[in-house]
Amino acid sequence: MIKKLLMMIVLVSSIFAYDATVEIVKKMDKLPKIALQDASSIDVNPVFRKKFYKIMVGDLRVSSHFDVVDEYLKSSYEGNLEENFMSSLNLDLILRYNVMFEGDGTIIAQIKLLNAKTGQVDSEKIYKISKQNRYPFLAHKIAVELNDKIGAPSIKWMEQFVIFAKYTDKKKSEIVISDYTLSFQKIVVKGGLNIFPKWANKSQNSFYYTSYNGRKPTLYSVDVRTGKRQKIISSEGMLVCSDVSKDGNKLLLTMAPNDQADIYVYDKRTKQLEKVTSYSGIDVNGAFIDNDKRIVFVSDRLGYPNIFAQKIGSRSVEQMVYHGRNNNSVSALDNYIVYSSREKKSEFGAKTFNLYLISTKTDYIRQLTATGKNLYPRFADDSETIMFIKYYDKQSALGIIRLNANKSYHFPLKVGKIQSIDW
Amino acid sequence: MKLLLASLTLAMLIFTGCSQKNPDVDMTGKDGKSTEVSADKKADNLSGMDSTNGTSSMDMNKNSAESDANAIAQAIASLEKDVNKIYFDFDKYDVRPDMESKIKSNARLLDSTKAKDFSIKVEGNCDEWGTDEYNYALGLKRAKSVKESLISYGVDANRIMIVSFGESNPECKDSNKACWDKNRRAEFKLLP
Repeated sequence: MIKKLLMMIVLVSSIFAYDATVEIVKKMDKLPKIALQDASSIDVNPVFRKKFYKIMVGDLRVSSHFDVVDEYLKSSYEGNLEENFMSSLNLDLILRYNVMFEGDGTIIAQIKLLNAKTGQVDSEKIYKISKQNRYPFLAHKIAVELNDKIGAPSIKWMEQFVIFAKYTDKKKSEIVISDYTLSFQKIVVKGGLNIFPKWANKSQNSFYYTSYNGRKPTLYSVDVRTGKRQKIISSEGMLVCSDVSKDGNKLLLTMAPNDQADIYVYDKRTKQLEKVTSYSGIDVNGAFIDNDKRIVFVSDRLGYPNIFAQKIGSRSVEQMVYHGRNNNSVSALDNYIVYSSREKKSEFGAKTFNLYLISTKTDYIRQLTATGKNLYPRFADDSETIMFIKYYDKQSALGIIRLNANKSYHFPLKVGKIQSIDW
Repeated sequence: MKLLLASLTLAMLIFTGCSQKNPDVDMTGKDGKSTEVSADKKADNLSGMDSTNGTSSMDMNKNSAESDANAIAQAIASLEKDVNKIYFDFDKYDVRPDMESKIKSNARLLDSTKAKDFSIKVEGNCDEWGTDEYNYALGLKRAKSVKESLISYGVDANRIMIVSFGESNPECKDSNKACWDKNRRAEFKLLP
């Protein structure tokens, strides 16, 4: 039993490993202590049961709104005096689940939430998902609703699809749709070099990506339901769709029709292209701010990559970051900007990249990561969560930072190297 | 015709999708206690897409067109073998002084009688450091620097196109300085 428990803890901690971020900004109040109880029938594949448990416990931990008991516990679904209190663990809540499979592949999860102080059932619900390989979304849905139930800030981002490109070989990559833990993965574009996928809208029913398989880099949109592909625009040299306006009608593109990479706004409705930046060096990675009226972007106009802002239609450029000597990636949400910065030197290596958060309203800078190569930060909709790419020697991982809890987690990609992400 | 049919079949397979399912959330439990929620998502039926070029093993009769194509491919391979790769310093896109003579030598070769009918594609590449979006722009600047240098040595600008492959095309996959040095480069491809 002890061995099993230790193995489980090691397994869970290796998947949901986190490195504490540098500053503690906001202390959480006392978190409700919760244990999960697997009440599934012994007929259910034990490997699946462990996987489901790992995602459930991981979701609750990543939410940062629960004090989660690591121990994998089994129980009956009806419960008894011992199972309904688990007195030795001094719990506040017990989440009991019974996972069942139907003949058509549908997975059903019968959920019972208990108040461990009273031993009483608080609520019951049945969740289902129609295909077995999408079980991570079943777990995420349960976690999101449980989180809502205790009145914690929303973690609905867990239900969002992530889209990423991964290099598989020289000039070869695939585009994959996944959940945030990479437990569910579906390749949606393969063959040749296809990179920089970007969701086309909030409902995530289509995406853009750049194909390098023709004479010129070409931007396509793909309908995820039908797989139908539509050409948007081509450019010599390079082409990236860096951001999409809130209404989904305008795209921020980095492209080089005259061999020179600059940022353009492309209006999907009129098919008009408007050049926003104009500089003989590098301008790249545009992101809309201020209700899509301005952009932040990366430029080497001071001799090194740094973060700047510019109003669309204006030529005046404002430097946004006065820290670091190589700030090469940026994402923005409301008044917040997150960027990756190469450290001159650190005890972990001469060229470590860390993420930093700034507000456009204050001079405050918050360091979000402390070790390794942390790049390509992207905000979730809720501005409390940032996704990024973490690189190791031969591996890459999808990282999640929970700003209020001051914690980060990473989910390694087993095969290939993550090229870019969006969610 | 066979190829066309095969392509159409492939395209149908690739682009076949299913109708969208909205989240089917039923929050009205019959007994007021138990409710049923579907975690099925809007992109439940994600459709795969394979953009692999339709390279077919179509059996072509040997003819003069094929032998011409072979001769061109051989000529290109022979020329590309002799073109120097141009290497760059970390984070830089200006041509290093020690690379000028190599570009000059490339310009001579690319302007020679045996090469002058081909277009030239300069591919810019980067090491693994930094964000890939920035690296694609950096690779493009490297390719542009080399293009401008080739032009200064007399190569016709209209023959040269540039493209960046960021860090997607490493010459060396190890994680050390010598390897990164090899990856920060511009390469040359000739096109008929």
